[in-house]
Amino acid sequence: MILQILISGILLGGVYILASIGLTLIFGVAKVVNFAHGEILMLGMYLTFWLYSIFNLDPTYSIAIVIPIFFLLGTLMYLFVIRPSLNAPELTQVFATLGLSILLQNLALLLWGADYRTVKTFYSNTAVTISPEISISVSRVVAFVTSLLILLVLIIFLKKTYIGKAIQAVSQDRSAAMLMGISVKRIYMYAVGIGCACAGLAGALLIPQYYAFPTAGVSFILISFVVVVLGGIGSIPGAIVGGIIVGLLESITGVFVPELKEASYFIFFIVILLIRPNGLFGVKGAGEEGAR
Amino acid sequence: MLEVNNLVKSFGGLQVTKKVSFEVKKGEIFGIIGPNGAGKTTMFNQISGFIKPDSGSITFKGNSIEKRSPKDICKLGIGRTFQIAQPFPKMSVLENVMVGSLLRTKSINQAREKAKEVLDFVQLNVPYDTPSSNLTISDRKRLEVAKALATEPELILLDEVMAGLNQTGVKEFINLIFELKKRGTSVLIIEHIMEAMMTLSDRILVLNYGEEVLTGKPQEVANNPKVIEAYLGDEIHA
Amino acid sequence: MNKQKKGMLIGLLIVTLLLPYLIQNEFYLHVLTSVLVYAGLASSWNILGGFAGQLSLGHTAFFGIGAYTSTLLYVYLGISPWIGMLVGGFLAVIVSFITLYPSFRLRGVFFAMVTISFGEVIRILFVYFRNKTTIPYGVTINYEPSFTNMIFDGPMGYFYVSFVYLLIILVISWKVKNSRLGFFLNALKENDEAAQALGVPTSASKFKALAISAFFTAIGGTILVQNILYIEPESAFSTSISTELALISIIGGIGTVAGPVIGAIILIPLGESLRALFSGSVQGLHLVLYGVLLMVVVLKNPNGIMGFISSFNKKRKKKREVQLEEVPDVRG
Ligand SMILES: Nc1ncnc2c1ncn2[C@@H]1O[C@H](COP(=O)(O)OP(=O)(O)OP(=O)(O)O)[C@@H](O)[C@H]1O
Ligand SMILES: [Mg+2]
Repeated sequence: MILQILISGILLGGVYILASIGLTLIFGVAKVVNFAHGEILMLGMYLTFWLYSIFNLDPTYSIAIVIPIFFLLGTLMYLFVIRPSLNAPELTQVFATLGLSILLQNLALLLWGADYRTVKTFYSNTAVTISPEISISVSRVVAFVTSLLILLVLIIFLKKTYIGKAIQAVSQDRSAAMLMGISVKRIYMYAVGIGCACAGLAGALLIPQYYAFPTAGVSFILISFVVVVLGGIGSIPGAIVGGIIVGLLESITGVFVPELKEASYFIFFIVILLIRPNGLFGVKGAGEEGAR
Repeated sequence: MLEVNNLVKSFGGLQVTKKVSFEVKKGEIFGIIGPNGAGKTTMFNQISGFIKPDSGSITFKGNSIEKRSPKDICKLGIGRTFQIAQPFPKMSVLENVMVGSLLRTKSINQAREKAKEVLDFVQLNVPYDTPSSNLTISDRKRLEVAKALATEPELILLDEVMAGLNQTGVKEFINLIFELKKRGTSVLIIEHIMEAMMTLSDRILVLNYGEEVLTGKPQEVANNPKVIEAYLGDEIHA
Repeated sequence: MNKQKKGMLIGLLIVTLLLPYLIQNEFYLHVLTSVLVYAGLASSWNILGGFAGQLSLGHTAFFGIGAYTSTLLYVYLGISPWIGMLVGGFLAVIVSFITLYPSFRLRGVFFAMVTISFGEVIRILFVYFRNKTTIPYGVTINYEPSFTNMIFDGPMGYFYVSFVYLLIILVISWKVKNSRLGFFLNALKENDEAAQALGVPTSASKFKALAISAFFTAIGGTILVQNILYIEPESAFSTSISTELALISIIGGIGTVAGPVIGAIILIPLGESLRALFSGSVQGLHLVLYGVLLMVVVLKNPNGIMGFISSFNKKRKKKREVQLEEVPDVRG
């Protein structure tokens, strides 16, 4: 019983990490909260769905198409929405991406209707039974493993490549990075592009388990808020820990009061945000953004 | 009027205020000088309630204020300016000052009249409806002082209000501060401009690395080798 | 306010009061009533979001609490919605104090994030506790027209109720804006620290704005539900309500008294007519437009339409001053 809760909690956590990593990456670098993050993820779900239903492409392979398209989408979003709001008042910072989220949500509604769509892979409904008490859904394991792999790639990218290092430098100290001759604006663009690619990717990996519909992104963005704030917004290791915590919290409350599992992590989130705006581990720098 | 006793404050491992004590008497102009980073502004922040000291006490007119909020301290009669002027950028000059004068009156009209009076007193010679974001540096400083004065303080804390001003500007400010003293307002002032401090101050406290070097009359301070050392030491550092 | 402005306002008031007699068409009257209610709701949001600069995205909670309180009190206990409305308002103030008030120490974007979450928590908790009772998912209010029931036979009654609601909130907005509280809110919005240094009671001021804002948002909830005579959790506590109230205020001119009214006059008929034109086949078109408008306005002109008007007025005034300076020559 306990093991089952732990396993499903961690698997769920993997999904949440993936869903929120792009948000934290963008915030870390550009200090902008992308309220349209959930809608980008939703679009990732739809793209994967259409690739599957038109070309019969398996979601795992569609990654190769999703990544470049969403990177491009991200750079466009940077140029038209995020860059103009960088030094703008709070009003603009909140409502520019929120406006984008309303736009995308309803564009999806306009184009594809309110139907729930999903992709059935051969493993969609299979579960592995380990012992009478423990059974694990295969598609969750697939999503979990893929998201770990992607995370690994992302971390290696950030550690080893020039752009990756520059992204980290900017996220740690904007002015020092500028002094070192890094073109900060360009790094912003890459970071937003990569963040969007991550969100689209998350959508692609989640579609076998979750339905695509116009407001599918809403619950994911809210969960992402919780995940990134728990771990300290802007911090990637923080998002990993935050994702696991939320996954566990959800699977634990899911056993006792299933209807309240969402409320449980929201309440946890609110309490954390109020008593420790820097996240559980107090990431330096994030606090200045969070509290007055 | 204001008594600071054994005040201690550190940020992380760095002690910025080390057991500092001094007293400002009624109607006195009390100066604080010291090299950059000596902890002068931090002292102001503690007196005005923006930073809570680790230990020690601050008493104003017999009330202990070290745990009070900035707004309560202001209500008690301590006004302050910020080293970097903090206007309300979208408000006009007059409205900026009215925020301060509304502390003592509920009536908008009275607050407006009071604000005009203060603006004239500090000789901020621009139309009342000038957006505060359009002001020059020296006018910003005047506005900063006007805002604080509008709260009708008995003690005003001035943090480098003359920095960046030209000779005439400094002279005008010196006259202004003497005028304040004449009206019975006590003044606690931080300034790097030595001549100004020498003319203005009744007594001066010299801080270095958060520590009191000495307190005394301007003449004593000017002739004290320890003070010169503090400043020279700073120059070697820099 | 000068005489000319006063006269214009009174004229506007009389025309609005007579509108139901001029417009006989039920649909138009319905749209007009929506404009009034949403203008009132957005004005309520604006007192916190605009005057105090606290960008709440959790106002749906207050709306839902208002709508549900009066409805449940009326349907199950027979208490008049007029009373239920006030109970709902006070309940919303209490909830706002528990939820938003502690969030005030968070900066803009984080405040928005935490308030969205609060809205969601209230919705989830509401759905959860409703399941434990015999209250059905959707609650229908029986159509029994009478003034005490706040149910009217025909659109006229709703029009006047909404009109009075808007009028009250506008008068309060105007009073707040031109009072000490208004100055304080403006100051703390622009620079919290500088405001504190001048003795501005920042927390108390924000709380006052919050209380007024939550109370009147809840009242608007009651009025809207009495108009539809049906309520369900997903729509009464939908996040999109918070967004829409913010949107109306921002497009019209956030932080101004007239802004939310102008925003509602533009957006509500736009939405309603698009919805009527493309009913069913093209859902969401008006919301696509809303999204685009919101983005363009906050990026290009964050002061909304009121911003345009005031900069236009300033230019005109300057022109007139220049002309006046030249005139004396001729007269002299
Ligand atoms: N909020 C803070 N957190 C951490 N360190 C701080 C903080 N405020 C000030 N300090 C440090 O405390 C020291 C004293 O700063 P303070 O601003 O009081 O100096 P100052 O005497 O006013 O200098 P200046 O003449 O340059 O204005 C400095 O080393 C500064 O970096
Ligand atoms: Mg200083």
